[in-house]
Amino acid sequence: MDCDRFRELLPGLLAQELAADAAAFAERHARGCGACARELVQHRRTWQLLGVLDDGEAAAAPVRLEQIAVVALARAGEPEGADRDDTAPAVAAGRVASIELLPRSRWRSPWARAAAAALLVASTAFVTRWWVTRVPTPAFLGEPEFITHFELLRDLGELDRGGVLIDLDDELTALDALRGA
Amino acid sequence: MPQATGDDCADPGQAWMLAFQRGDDAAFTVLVRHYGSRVIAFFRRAGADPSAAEDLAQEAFLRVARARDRYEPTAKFTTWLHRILYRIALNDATRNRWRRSIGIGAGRGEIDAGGSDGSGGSRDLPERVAAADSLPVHELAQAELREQVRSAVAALPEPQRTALLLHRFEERSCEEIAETLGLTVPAVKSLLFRARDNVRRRLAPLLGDDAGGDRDEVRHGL
Repeated sequence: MDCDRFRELLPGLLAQELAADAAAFAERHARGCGACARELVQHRRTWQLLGVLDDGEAAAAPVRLEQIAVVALARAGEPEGADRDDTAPAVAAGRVASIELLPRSRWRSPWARAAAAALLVASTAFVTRWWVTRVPTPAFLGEPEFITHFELLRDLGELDRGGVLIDLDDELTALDALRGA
Repeated sequence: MPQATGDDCADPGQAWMLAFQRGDDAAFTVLVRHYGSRVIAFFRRAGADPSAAEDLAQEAFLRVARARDRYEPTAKFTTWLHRILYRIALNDATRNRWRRSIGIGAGRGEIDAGGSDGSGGSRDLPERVAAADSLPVHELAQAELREQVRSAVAALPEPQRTALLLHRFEERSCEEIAETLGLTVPAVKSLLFRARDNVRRRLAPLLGDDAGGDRDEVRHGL
């Protein structure tokens, strides 16, 4: 069958690797066969269509590439089994730019998760204390720790609007109510 | 400043890597600046969202840095780098992250790319709507088209996806791809055709279905 022969030749035809007579056969067949013509045209259009992925790929910001280089250098000496997503050690060592310099869209990256986790751990003791007592005194509300924690939770909640890291809605509502009281 | 600029070498990546091996950290930074955007673009085309693509590029260059002592310039630097990208693409955890990040099924003409968790991409719906509202119609259509093509490519199994990306966008020859993937040249040719065919099938609704018109296009040599 000519269609079977055409399909055998199609990869070579698309790669422009067919001998002249084979290519002529394939082209001639496609001109007379709707199904094979469709397949050939769709293949060629697919190749063209892939070109849309060339558009809109702006070069990465130089500052971001610098960060990639610095983090890679900083972490290159770590054991390879370490969590590859965790860039916290480099951040902690001050060898990479502060995460506050990054746009907020970056907060869903591993940097953000590492930083957010560190902040949450740092405030765990305070949260536990507050949730256990549940009835803070006015003096307690005025403590710097409380204010710092409140601001921290509010910022985290804002950065993590999708609730990916932690659901802070209830806690923020309660803190807001307390603070407003 | 790096001791090796790469300008005087046929393979600048190799020169920078060797300088890095000799202790020149600045050469590594130059290398990342030179190849970083291409690496990020590779992962973007493979289906990762911008943030995930940067994370994956970070991982790629971390592997480059870790290879400092054992690097040997036996192949073109890009072939060696592409091998790293391919290994990352093969990594199951990484692959799952990609699949979470691609916006499969977004917009009209949904494409079932498979493997989606149905989340509709990494952005929340209001964010997507807001972003769409800010674009002129033709740009919106272009962006939507791009996402559909990206999803079709992202759904390819490895090593089809890497082979297609290297051939179509990095202009790598079948021989170079064979070296990168550890396959024979005929195997790469077969792989490329299957990749192209799979993408064609997934994008078929966008490619038209007019047998008569297609015969005309063949006659006129599209």
